[in-house]
Amino acid sequence: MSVKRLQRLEILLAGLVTVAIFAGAVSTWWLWDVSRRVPYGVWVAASLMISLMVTSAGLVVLSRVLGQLRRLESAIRQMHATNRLLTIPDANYPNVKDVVLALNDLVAAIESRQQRQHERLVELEQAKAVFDQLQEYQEGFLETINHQVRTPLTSITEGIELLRDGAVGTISHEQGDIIHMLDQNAQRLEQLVEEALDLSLMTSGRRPLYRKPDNVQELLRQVVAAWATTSQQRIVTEFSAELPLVYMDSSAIRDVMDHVMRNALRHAPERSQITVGARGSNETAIEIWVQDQGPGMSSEQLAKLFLPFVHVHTPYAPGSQGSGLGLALCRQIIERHHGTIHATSQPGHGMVVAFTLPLASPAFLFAEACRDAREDAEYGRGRYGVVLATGADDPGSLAEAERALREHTHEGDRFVWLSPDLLAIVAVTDRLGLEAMTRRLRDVLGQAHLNVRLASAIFPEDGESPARLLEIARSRFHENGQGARNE
Amino acid sequence: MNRPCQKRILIGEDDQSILKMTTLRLEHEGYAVVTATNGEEVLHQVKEAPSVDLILIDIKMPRLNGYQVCQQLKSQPDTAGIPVIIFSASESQLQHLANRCIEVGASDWIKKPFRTKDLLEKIHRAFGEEGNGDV
Repeated sequence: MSVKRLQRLEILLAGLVTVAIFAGAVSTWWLWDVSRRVPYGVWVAASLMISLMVTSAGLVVLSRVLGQLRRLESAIRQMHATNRLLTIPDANYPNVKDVVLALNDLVAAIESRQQRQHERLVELEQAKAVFDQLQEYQEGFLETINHQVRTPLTSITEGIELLRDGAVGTISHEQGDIIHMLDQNAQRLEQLVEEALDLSLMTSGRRPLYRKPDNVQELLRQVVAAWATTSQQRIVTEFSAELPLVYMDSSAIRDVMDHVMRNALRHAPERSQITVGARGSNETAIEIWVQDQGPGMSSEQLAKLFLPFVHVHTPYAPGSQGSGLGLALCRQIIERHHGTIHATSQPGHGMVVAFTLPLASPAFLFAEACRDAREDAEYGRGRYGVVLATGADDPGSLAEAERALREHTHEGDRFVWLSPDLLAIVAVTDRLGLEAMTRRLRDVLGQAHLNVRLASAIFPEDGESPARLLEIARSRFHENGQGARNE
Repeated sequence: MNRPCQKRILIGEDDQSILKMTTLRLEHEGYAVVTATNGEEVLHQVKEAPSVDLILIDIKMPRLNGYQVCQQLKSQPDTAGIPVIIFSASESQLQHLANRCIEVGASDWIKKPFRTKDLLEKIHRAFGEEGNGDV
């Protein structure tokens, strides 16, 4: 109830109180028959005066209470209008005073919370400034490595090769030895620069991965063949029966294998055996491992193995031969493939470095397409949609439909075959866009006389997980029934 | 050593050491080499020595950069047929670099620091695909 309404109520109450007291006084006179002692006129005047005095006193009290309530209301409205917290003026009357004290306590608590939030915000802004600065340093580092280090390195390696090849005259045996040493060191420097750059690009996410379903067995055979020609150890393979396709950037995984092989060969004795193996780890991943017969490592050494700039010394590799970055880079690459990498060893029993890669199963590819779409959607309206297509009677028509659908969708839309009769299209769009897209694709299929049904679901309204979106879209095939059929 | 009938290669590179090393290597491989140290000089040299069979240019060059030089060469009928290979030290956006090279009409590109055998491979490929064999 507002104070203005209370004002009207106050006048009404005052009138009623006056009338009630006056009526009471007159009734008393009448009932108790006091007229003999007090004349009627005096009694009426006295009654009227008393009732007016009581009413006036009541009105004074009421108006003061209302005045304090008005100040309270005004302070609250001012806070609302200015969006700033104010201390409400103190009040005399006990109940109003309690309300004012409670409100002032609330204001103080909110102010204190706001202050803490402000302090946290300042801390966050400072942290962001530091982060931005670090990113700038990283950019500067990459730029320096790129141009200021690699360019002179080009000249050094070129010059060494020209001398070695006798392009500027014949060289003596001793000169040849020095040139060979220069060449070895230039190669080490080149490897260090490449690995530092790769690690920076991989860590910052600036190196894109081009992942696709690929044959890891073939890649491992190539790696083994390449290393077998240069290593003094015997390299054997141990693959389980035909391995399923994995989802990988084969060039990046080739780098991983090269680093893991280099590490194994460095720590293993000559003429020992290196085993390269692969097997299904579980239903969603395969495991690839490289086992050596070296002296192994302690648990302390293993704990540091995948950290950058760490050199692990063993009897066969006592010096700092590598850059100390290779296995750290491997970890980055494998983690960006949603895999894991680890090493196991016991001193004296060699070491196994093993990593997993996800199988290119339809469920994984669909989840990956949804994950990518969700990341892309973050730059827009935060929505992506799934359109499912199924060949109602003839699954063969779906393959034909895919060509038509690809022609009428955007380049960035992701197509995933979930089963021979179910094709999913994952597209970054909002609900209206998804509905328009589905209608357009239905028209396209109808014009091509393809008996293919479509159903769709949108993230996140219809479901937050890829599995839920799939379930909802599938259920709509049944809901839509014949309505979704293109005839 | 294989001397493929003295084909003439123009190198545009502002880094003197790379220019010197690449020149020595290509001469050692039997090519005739003309050099330039900025973009304008590359265009001038092409006019002065019209029998250039291949051009190697760095992206980062004074006056005109490698892309601009390549675009100008490809816009002139008498130089449009000369294959161009671009040098670059840029690592961060390889895909962008590849696309840009295709856009300006370069035959190929090579990332610095390059190994001589990689550069020679690209030169042989450029001649194999686009060279007219005349010297």
